[in-house]
Amino acid sequence: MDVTSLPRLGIGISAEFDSARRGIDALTLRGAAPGLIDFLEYGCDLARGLDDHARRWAAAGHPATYHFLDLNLTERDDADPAWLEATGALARELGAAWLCGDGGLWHFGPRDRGHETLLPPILTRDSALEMADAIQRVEQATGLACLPENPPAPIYLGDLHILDYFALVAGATGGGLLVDCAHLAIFQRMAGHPPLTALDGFPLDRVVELHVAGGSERDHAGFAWIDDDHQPEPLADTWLLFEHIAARAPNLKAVVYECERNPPATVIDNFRRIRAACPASA
Amino acid sequence: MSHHALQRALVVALHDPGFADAMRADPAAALAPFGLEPAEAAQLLAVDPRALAIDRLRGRRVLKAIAEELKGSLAIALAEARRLGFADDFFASPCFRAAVIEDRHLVLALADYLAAALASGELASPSLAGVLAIERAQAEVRRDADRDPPPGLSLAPGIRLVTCDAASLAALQAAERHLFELSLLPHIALCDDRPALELPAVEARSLHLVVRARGGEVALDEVPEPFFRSLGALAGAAARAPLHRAGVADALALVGLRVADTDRLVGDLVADGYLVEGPTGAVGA
Repeated sequence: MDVTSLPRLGIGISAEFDSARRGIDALTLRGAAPGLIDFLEYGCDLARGLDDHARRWAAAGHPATYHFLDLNLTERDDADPAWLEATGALARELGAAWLCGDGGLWHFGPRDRGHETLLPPILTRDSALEMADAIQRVEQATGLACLPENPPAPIYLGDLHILDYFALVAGATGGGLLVDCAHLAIFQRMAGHPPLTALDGFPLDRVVELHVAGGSERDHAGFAWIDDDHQPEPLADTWLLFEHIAARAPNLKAVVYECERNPPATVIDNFRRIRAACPASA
Repeated sequence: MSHHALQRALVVALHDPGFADAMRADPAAALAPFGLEPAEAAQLLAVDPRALAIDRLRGRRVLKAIAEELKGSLAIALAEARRLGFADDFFASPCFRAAVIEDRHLVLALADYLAAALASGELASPSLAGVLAIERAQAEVRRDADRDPPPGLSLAPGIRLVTCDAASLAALQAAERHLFELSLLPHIALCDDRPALELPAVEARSLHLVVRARGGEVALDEVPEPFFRSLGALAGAAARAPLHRAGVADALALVGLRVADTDRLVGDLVADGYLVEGPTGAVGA
């Protein structure tokens, strides 16, 4: 799908089913701090569907995107007709400009209720081409662009760098990508690479959406890893990646700060930093 | 494709510390069921063992998702085993491993695990077999309702037949009520005087149930034994070979039933949604 035809959404906040009950209500924050957020990225699975928060946002006519949490993009046949039909209907009800989701496994075995076990893809050429097939199937069935997102993990298997993997995916689909800067920072750290490694060969013109989120450095029996816990403050590597890519991605349409579970006061300055770093096009 | 095999091996390694140890001790034997290429096996073996153990709640989250459909059975099993390790050991079982390798539903693998514990004598609670039969049937029909029926007459998609002791439904309800009470104050787990799971005594009388998925819900209907036997006979015959109307009388005769007008019986069972007639069902009528 042609990325240049997608609408510019601006700066968004993430939400998941029921997250506004104890976290940030996007409508309330939008009213309290005008100009802070432009759109909502709502994540859920079909078993839960839209919550009251997402329905209120949609009813207000504000822009949105839909982040699925129940499709294995690494498996060609996981996008079955029932999932495609129901997801398309849910996205239309939300008024989503496009679909997105981590390109990995949300479940193992057949799709079932409440799994949400996110694992990254095996980073090989065959896997990337299979993911591209799955994305094209989703796009054809729903009529919406489907942006694959690089997932987080302490373990990645396969012979490709994750940026080379998603470059292959984009090359095969001809469509767009979602780069999660926090997840990419995790990959680089776990692989022992500097933060900007492999970006020189990455098709930044395919980047439609960026994610920014907080993470925590942790240690397990001497093994250092990063917990993608979405606490308010992004790691320095995440900021570096975000500011580097945002300045060089000509088709960037949207940036989501994944912070919905935090107190509003702890995230406002970061929203302003994100907006300041974005070109006028995003 | 090979990357799927490597993904499955990683899933097992992430959930079963024993497997992770075994693949290091004897990689060829441990990894043989996955059919990995040597380079893939080498990648998996190169993973820092500490990285596999970072998320200590991974298995619990999977159990939380799948135990919802077997909560009565798991409650009865754990009340007897009296150790959480019995639930955790699911991930070390052949049932879990086979489900991952063969892309089967994990909830049915957990049901297999409980059934295997009963069969081996590891568990012996008199209530478990009946409750497990009911909950397993409920889990199966939820996943079966949209199946295309085979040619000929067969049990309708989304239906299972269950025979269990007459106290099984009461035992299931008692287990659910007990779990509800525990959920009111999870701190109960810290107390030595927490309430025990009280189950009704098993009855000699049998209960004959039709478990049926209807519009997103699952209904349990108790039916008379001859009716249950009829359905069972027709389901059994259809499982062996395509069953046509002309063969219905013979199928019923095998279980000692004589029906004067089998066409009318079949018509009624189809109209009531117990049977379906697949594409060639009318042949031989």
